[in-house]
Amino acid sequence: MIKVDEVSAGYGKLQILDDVSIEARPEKITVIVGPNGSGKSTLLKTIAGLTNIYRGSITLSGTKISGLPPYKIARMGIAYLPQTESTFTRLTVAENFKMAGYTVEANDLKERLAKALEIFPKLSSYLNSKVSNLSGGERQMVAMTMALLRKPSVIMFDEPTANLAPIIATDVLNTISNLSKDSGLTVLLVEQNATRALKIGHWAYLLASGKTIFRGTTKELLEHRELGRLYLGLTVSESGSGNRPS
Amino acid sequence: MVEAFVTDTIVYASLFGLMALGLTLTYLTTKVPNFAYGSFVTIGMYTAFALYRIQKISPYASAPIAFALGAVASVSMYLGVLRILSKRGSSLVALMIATLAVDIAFVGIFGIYSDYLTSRYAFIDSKQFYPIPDSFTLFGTAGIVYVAPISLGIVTLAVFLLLTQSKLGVAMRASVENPSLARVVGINVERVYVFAWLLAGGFAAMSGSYYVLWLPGGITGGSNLIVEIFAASVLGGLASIYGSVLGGLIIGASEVLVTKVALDQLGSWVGIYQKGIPLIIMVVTLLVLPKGITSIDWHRMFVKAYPSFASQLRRLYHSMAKLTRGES
Ligand SMILES: Nc1ncnc2c1ncn2[C@@H]1O[C@H](COP(=O)(O)OP(=O)(O)OP(=O)(O)O)[C@@H](O)[C@H]1O
Ligand SMILES: [Mg+2]
Repeated sequence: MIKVDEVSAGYGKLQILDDVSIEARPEKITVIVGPNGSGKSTLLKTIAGLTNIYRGSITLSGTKISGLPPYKIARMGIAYLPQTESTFTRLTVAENFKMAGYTVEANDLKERLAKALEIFPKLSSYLNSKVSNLSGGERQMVAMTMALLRKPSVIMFDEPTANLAPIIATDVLNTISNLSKDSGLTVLLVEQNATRALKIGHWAYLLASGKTIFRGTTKELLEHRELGRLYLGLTVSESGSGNRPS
Repeated sequence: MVEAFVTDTIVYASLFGLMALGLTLTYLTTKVPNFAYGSFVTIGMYTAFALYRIQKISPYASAPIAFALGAVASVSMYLGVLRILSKRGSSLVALMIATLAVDIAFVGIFGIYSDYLTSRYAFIDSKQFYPIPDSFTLFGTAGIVYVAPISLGIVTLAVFLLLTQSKLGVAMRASVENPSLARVVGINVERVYVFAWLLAGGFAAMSGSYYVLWLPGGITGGSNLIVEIFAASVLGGLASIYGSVLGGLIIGASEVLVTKVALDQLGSWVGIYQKGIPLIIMVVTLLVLPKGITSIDWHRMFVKAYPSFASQLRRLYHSMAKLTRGES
């Protein structure tokens, strides 16, 4: 379980997050939504140890992780798929996987890779290609695989379906959903398409201007007329039918 | 006996290749132009000088010691100066000036050390010394003429294997391309940078100990080479290990060869302008090819520049093929 406790954080002296508190539990998908620039990515980066934390603390199953260097946080079992630059483009696909499993035993890595490639079979034929030669969607698959390879206890996805064709995006979200159920993973999910993410998630947080303005179940958020209209682009007619698009 | 300018070229070019490779390694990782790099070369010069004069140890045998001392100096500079400053948020310019300051400090330390050698062992030439005699010759040519290029070849190959075949090497490339992603996959990027600085200082000092087998050394011996080393690295594109080796070879060779031609044609007065050659090459590179020689698309250039030549080759090939099949 990840617990973000009254955290204020930002880049250098530029504060972005203001007193944010969040909890994410095993076997559950916690969805974070909010308008562009509201601080969703910054929140994930803060958990990963990539920003400056001014106040508050972050714990992983009771152990304090705020203040630790990012590589140590990663080694504690927190995987993170960044929104941009989520792959090493000058390395081959195989080298990217090797790096993703930097702290994993070579034999373990092989096993996990075989499993991960079942989700994206297309990637097995690209192992020796440079990532810079792959399409945006293929890169996204590489990045997803990299996050899965690490066999984490917590996994944070920052818009994992961006660049993916709708049918593959659905696959990806289903995979994420199954992961949380079957492997007991704690999943933190940031998604462009709020409705779709809220449908597969359990808990929801709505961020605006670096503050949490809603916390509750995904169902509650989907049915919240005012917030849905203001922040999630759900129209009034949709909210009449429980905020779910037809 | 091989002509002097040929052996000069071989030694000079190889050593600059080795030095440029090290400089590029540090530039790639920390992005700070390190003006103290020349002093790491001087560390090698003094290791060779002191061990030869005191213990009669050949610079070939003391090169590993030089490597270790250069590595220690380089890592200390990185951890003790640059990392502390950058953690405090110093700008790139501030870091660059700090490396200049470190170089001045190093020259001071070499001065003190040479005074010590003079007072303790009565080496009156310890501030500025003639080349150390080579310990072997082969076919009438000094050993360093073979050792320098072979060392460069081995080091380049070893670095290539490291960067492509080993996990640590791939992690180095990953940390250079995207440090924050490298961190979140669990790579200790700081340690990777320290390793790059370790290798860089080692290669610099190793070339310094070879250098004094051919040319004079002194307390500013390495610092005086910094222009050439930077020129080589810039020519190589600053971001390419192999480009920098090529850049070093070109800078070293052209400095010797251009000077020789100029001396033969114009007289001895041009000799003092020798050090201007790498500067000119660096300026021209920055103006014409800011990304260095490795950014040239040789294939396209050739086909563009000589399209008729390429098509004639093709025609020649086809007619040969016909002939061999017995057609006419
Ligand atoms: N590296 C950075 N340095 C300085 N400011 C940054 C940095 N990254 C983001 N910001 C600022 O932080 C704020 C929040 O950005 P963030 O990326 O967290 O938003 P987001 O909610 O993920 O938006 P989006 O939906 O567009 O991805 C923005 O105002 C942005 O300008
Ligand atoms: Mg974002």
